[in-house]
Amino acid sequence: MNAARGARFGGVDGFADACVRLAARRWPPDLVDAMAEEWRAELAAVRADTSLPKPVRSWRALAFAIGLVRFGSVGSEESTWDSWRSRAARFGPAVAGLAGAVGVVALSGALFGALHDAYHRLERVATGATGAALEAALVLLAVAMMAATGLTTARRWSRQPAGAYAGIRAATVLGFVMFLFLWIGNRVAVMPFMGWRDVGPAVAAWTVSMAMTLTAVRRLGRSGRRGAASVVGAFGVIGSADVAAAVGSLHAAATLGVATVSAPAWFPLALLPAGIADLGLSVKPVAASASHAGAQASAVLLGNASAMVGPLLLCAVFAVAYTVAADGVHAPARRPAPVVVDRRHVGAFATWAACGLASIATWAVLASSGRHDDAGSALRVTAIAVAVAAFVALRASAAASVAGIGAFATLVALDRAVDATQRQGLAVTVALVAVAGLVGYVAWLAADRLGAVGARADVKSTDASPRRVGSPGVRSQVWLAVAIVAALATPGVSPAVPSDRAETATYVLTGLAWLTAVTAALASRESALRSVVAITLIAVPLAGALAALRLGGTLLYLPAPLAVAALAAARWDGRWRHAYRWLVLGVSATALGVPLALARDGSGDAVGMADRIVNNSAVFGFGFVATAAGQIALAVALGIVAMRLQRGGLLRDTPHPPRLAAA
Amino acid sequence: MAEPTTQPRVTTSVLKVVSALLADPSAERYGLDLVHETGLASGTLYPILLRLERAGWVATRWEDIDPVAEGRPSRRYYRLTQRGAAEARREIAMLRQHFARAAGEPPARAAVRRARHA
Repeated sequence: MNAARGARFGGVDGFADACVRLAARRWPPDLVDAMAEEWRAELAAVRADTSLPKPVRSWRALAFAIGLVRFGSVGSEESTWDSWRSRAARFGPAVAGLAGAVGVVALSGALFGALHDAYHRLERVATGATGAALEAALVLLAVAMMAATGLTTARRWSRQPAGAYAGIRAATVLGFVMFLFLWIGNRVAVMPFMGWRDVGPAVAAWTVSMAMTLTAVRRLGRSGRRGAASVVGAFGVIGSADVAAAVGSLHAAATLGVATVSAPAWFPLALLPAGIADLGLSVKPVAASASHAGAQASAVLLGNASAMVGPLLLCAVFAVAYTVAADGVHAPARRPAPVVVDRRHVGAFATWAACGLASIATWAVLASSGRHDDAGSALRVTAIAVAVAAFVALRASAAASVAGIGAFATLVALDRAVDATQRQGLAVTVALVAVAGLVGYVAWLAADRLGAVGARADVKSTDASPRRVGSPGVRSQVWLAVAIVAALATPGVSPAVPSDRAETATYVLTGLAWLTAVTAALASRESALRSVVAITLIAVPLAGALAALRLGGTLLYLPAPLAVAALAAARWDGRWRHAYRWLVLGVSATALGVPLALARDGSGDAVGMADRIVNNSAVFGFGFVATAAGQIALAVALGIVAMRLQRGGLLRDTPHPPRLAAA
Repeated sequence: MAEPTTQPRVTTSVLKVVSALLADPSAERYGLDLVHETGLASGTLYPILLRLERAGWVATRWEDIDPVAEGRPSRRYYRLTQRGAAEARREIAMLRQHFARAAGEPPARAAVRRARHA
C-alpha cells in the first residue's frame, strides 16, 4: 500500500489525489487513513483499467475524487446540489461567528481600556513595589475575566467543532476584526506608532501564531488531553503576544533608534510599570509626536507596544479558553496507548559498528595530530560522544545510557591525558583506536547484558495494562522525556562550567547532554531504525561541531538544536507531517540559548542592553531564564509540553495499517 | 467493527445502495462498483456505507493482496450481512406498500405483515 501511496502523479491525476486527501481529512480522525487508503485503491483501479482510453480513465478518476470532496463526509450523505435558500442558510453560522469575533474584540478593547485607566489612577495612590503588585494583579484579573468569559461562552453556546481548519478560521476572523479595531478604530492615534505599518505586521504575526496555537489546542482537546491543551494554549497566548509586540514595534524601534536585538523582551518589559524598564538609551526627543518630545525612547516603545498588544493578549486568552472548553465538551474517548512487544533492536549491527569505528578513528587521528586548542577539543569530544552513542545504540535501553555515560567519561579522561602529554604520531593513533575500541566493546556488552533484563521484563508486561507505572508505554515516555529535557538543557549546562578552560568543559557537558538525549531517545524507541537514519544520527553532530567552529561566537546557540536534530533522527517515524513538532522543539531549544549568548558576548552596546534587560526583568523573574538554573527549569517545563505534543504521534513508531475488521 | 449501534435512517439513497447489494446478497462489492450501479456520487455513497456498517447491515473486508507486488493498494469490499439483507428486504417491502397505497391499489395486508415480521 505504501508503495502505491508514495506514487506521484501530475496534472489531472495529481489533482484527483489532492481531492482524496482533502476529502479524507473531513472524516472522523479514526477513519481518515482508512478512507484515504480505500479511495486511493479505487483511483488506482480506475487508472489501471486498460480497456478504456486514458482520457476517459482520468475523467472517471477525477469525477470520483471530486464527488468525494463535493459531498463526502459523515452525515452529508443526503446532500444534494444546494438551492439558493440552503446556501443562504449557511451564512447564519458565518454571520454569528463574525458577530462573535466583533464582540470578543470589543470586549478585549474595553477591558484593556479600563485596565489602562486603572493603571493611571493607581499611579497617583500607590507607587513602587505596591503599585507594581497592584498593576500585576489588575492584569491577572483581566486575563481571568477573559478566560472565564471564554469558558462560559463555550459551555453554553459551543457547537460541534467543524473541520480541521476551524482554528485557522477562528484566528483569521479574530485577526481581521482586531486589525480593524486597532487601525481604523484608532484614526486619531493614542500612541505615536499605531499606523498600518505597526498594526498590520503585529496583527498578521499574532494571527499566524494564534492559528498554530488554536490548531494545536483543538487537536489535543479533541483527543481528550485537555490539560496539555491548556498548557499549550497558555504558551501560545504568551508567545503570540511576544511575537506581535516584537514585529509590531520594529518600525517604532527603527524610528527611535532602539536596537532590535532586544525585540523578544519588549512584550515582558511592556508589562512592567512605567519607569522600571530601561533599554539603555539616552533621553531623546521623539519625532513622531510632539506631545512625546523629551520622553525616553524605551518608554515610548514599550508604552506603544503595550497599547497595541494588550487587546491582542486578552483576545487570545478568550480564544484559547473557548477552544479548550468547546473541544472538551465534544472530546471523544482517549486513544489507548500502543502495546510494546520488544524494543531492544534499533538498527543493523554493521551500520552502528561502522559508525562507531569511524568516529573512534576520527577521534584518534585528532587526538594524536597535535591539535590541542579549543577547536580541536570540541571536535574530539564530539567524536567521542558520537562513537559511544553508536556502540551503545546497538542495544538501546536504560542500561545503554548508563553504560554510554561511563564510556564517555573514560574516553574523555583518556583524551585529556593525551592532551596534557601532547603526544603525537601513528603509534599513539593506533593505541588510542585500540583502547577506544575496547572501551566501546565493554560499553556494548554492558548495554547488551543489562538491557536484556529490561527487555524480558518488557515482554512479560505487554499483555497487562500498558498504562501502569513500569509498563513499556510509560517507560518509553519516561525515556523520551529524559531525552527531550537533556536536549533542551544543553544551553543551560554550559554556563555552569568553571572559568578555567571553560570552552572545553562546555564541549564535554554538551557532548554528555547530547549522548544522554540520543541514548534515551533510542531507549524509548519501539521499532527498528533505518540505516540511513542511524548514519544521519552520527553525521549531524560531527557536521554541527565543524559548523560551530566556523561560527565561533554563536556556539551557544548550536548544541540544543543539534541535540534536537539527533533526537528527531532517533525518534523518526517516517512521517514528514510530524516534522513540525521537532521544528517547534528545535526553535524552543535554540531560543533558550539566546539570553545566554547575549549575556556572554564580550563587547558592544548589545551587551549593555542585554545586561540591563536582564537586570530590569529580573525584578519580576524574567531574568531567571538567563541563569543556568533557570534554563534547566525552563527546559523541564518545555520538555513537559513537548512530551504532551509528542505523545499522540511520535510514540507510534510503526504506522498501523488501516485495516478494518469485518463486522 | 464495533457492535451495531443504531438503526440507519432509510432514505432513497440508502435504498439504492441496499438494492444494489441485494441483487446478489452474497457478493462482495467495492465502492466504485456501487457508485456505477447506484448512480450516486462517491461522496454520497461512502457515508451511507459507513452508516450501514455501523448498523450491522454491511460487513467489510480488505482485499488480501500484496500491494507492493500488485502495484496498487488493497481495495475494500462490502457485502450485506444476513441481518442487513433481512432488514433491507423488509424496508423495501414496506416502501412498496406505501407506494401502492399512494397509487390507489388495495393494501396487501399479508405482505405488510410478512415484511414486519421478517
